[in-house]
Amino acid sequence: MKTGLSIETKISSEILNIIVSGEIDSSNYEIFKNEVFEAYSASANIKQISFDIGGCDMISSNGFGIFYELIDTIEKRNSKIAVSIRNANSAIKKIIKLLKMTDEFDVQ
Amino acid sequence: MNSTSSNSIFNIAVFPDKKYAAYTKIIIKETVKNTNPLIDEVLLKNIIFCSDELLTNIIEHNKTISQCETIKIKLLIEKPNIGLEFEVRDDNPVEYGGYQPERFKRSFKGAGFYLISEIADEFNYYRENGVNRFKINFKIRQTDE
Repeated sequence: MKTGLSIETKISSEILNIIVSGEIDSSNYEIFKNEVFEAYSASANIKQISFDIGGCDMISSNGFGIFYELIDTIEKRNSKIAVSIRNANSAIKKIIKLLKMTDEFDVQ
Repeated sequence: MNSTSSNSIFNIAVFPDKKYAAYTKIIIKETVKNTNPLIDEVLLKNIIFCSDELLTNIIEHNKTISQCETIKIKLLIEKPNIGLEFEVRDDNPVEYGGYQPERFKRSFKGAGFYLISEIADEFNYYRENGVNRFKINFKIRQTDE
């Protein structure tokens, strides 16, 4: 069994928008990873990757690791792409702060 | 996986496999909601998050746990406390050296215990006769209802 997760990607105005709903946990974080990296690889000339996690109830630490892995990959490719995380619920926002992700991500 | 209930103590036995962690999370969530219908959503999300982190950590810590072994989970609901106890046979004790942000950024591991200890009201670990035991406690506050 895998936990329910929905990922929608679309590009507009040089921004790759990734809209996530459901929960990211140990059973499905690899699906999340694959979808994010496939969308990133298929997106040329973008300046920003924006995650809308307003419909996301929970993200496990494995899931948060994917955000860092994405930043690592962007840096290794010498790309200048900002990564933002929007609409996190208050429980997820607390974890983002505890992990000090606000140092590297634009959290809105 | 099976579950039994007696008053507000629920015992769950789960096989050490990640797919059962997903099932267990649902059982814990529904049980807590049924016994506390007005529970604050943030508190409920925190309980689910900590359950999932700990269960995943236990499963990953000892990959040699036999599939016929089980992880025993006790959910104790007695206002104002919601407690979770995890018990698992494991060849090795748990070693936790604290959260190292740089390590997490490199390997994406090592944040689970830190997050649980920050989010829950109490988080304790002890080992006895080859069995690792973890206790997590949350307090329901007036504002959580």
